[in-house]
Amino acid sequence: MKILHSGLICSLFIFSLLLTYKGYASELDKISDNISENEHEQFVEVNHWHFSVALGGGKITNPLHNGKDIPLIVLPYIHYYNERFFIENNVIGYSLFQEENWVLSTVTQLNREAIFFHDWQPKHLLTPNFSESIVSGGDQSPVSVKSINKRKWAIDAGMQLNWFATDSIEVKAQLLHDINGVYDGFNGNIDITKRLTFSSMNQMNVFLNIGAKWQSRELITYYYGLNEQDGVDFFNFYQANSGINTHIALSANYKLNQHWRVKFNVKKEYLSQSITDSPLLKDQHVTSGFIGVVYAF
Amino acid sequence: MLFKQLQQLFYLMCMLMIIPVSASELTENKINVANINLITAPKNETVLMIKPLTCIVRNIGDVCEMMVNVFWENNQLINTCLFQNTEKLTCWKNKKRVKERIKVRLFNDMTFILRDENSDALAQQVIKINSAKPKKLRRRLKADWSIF
Repeated sequence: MKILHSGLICSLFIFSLLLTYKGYASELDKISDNISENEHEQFVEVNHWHFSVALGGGKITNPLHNGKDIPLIVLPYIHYYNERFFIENNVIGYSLFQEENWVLSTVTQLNREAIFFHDWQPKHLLTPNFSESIVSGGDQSPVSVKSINKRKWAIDAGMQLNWFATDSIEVKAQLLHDINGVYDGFNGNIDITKRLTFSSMNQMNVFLNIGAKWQSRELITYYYGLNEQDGVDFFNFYQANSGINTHIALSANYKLNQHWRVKFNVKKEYLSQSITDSPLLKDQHVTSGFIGVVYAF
Repeated sequence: MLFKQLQQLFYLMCMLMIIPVSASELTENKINVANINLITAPKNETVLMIKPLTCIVRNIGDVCEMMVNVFWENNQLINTCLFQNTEKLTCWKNKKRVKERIKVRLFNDMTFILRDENSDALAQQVIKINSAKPKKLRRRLKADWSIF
């Protein structure tokens, strides 16, 4: 909470400075600003690297017993496209078919699940220290994440379909399998994103996203299952089934000029019963939020 | 600060009004800079104007060669040199005002700097390169960090 609060104050301060600065934006900025924001979001110039960095405050809650929340302070963003190949942050892909309203690609990306089993506290990230009070360290739990074997990072690969249903609605579906033999299973997801625009504030974009993520029995068992190798009591052994997580997210960004924008996003993910039944779990959902400013290089 | 910017804006508007030239006219040597003497520099300040501000090339990465109009003015007689980034292009001795056409060669966006005899920068201006070809775009398959 404290980091969100300080991030909010920091962002508001920088935001007010930038509003003042905006009055002196160059002529080029103004020309660029006249290009529809929607064009910026939906299309990208090929053979051009885009780097940006977000600075602010936020966190991802950790649903595991004694698991520490993941602080979000500095977030780098990168994307690059050529005619077929693309990089979007930690997603690398190759588009096999590109039609006007849909694109089919092969992708590879980092699987999220291991994030809860690693310590992301500031002392490990060279970021400013903040209170341990955001950590639910006092919980008495059947099984603490600290007492079990560390779960490995998995790299997934598979197919991705993007369907641009309308100018403001995009549907994305993925079917992936890990390629480094960590959990030896599948996962798939479907996301629907609706872009909201406001005629009175054409620098503002708001995205509403809902989605579902299916995870195979092998994936959930590897990350949230328990057996003798974890050194836990026999009564805490856990073998999972497949499950479906659902989520809803809201994000917004306000473009100040060619380089700066304010970014806000919040997401709530409801974990499947196969996950929440694990003795490792203390929460049934994961919440993430971030507010900050983004500088595009 | 604001007054200074308004002043600069005023000079720029004057230049745009009295030198209505396009890049193509410049390359064909049809420019007339006779009316530039309407502009005067504020005391102890140097005004530098280089036209055009943009060079159009067929493809990004192509070399741009063009004639540009250089105009500078100071209230005192000074010795100056014009630099293209760090490369010296031409120099003038004991001048208060210069209107000259010079040939430049650019590979990318370039800063032109007018320096005095102590190498102090008096004024500077950027000439940008743009491609005549429309930028090639494709659908963006937007994805946030998959770990969030």
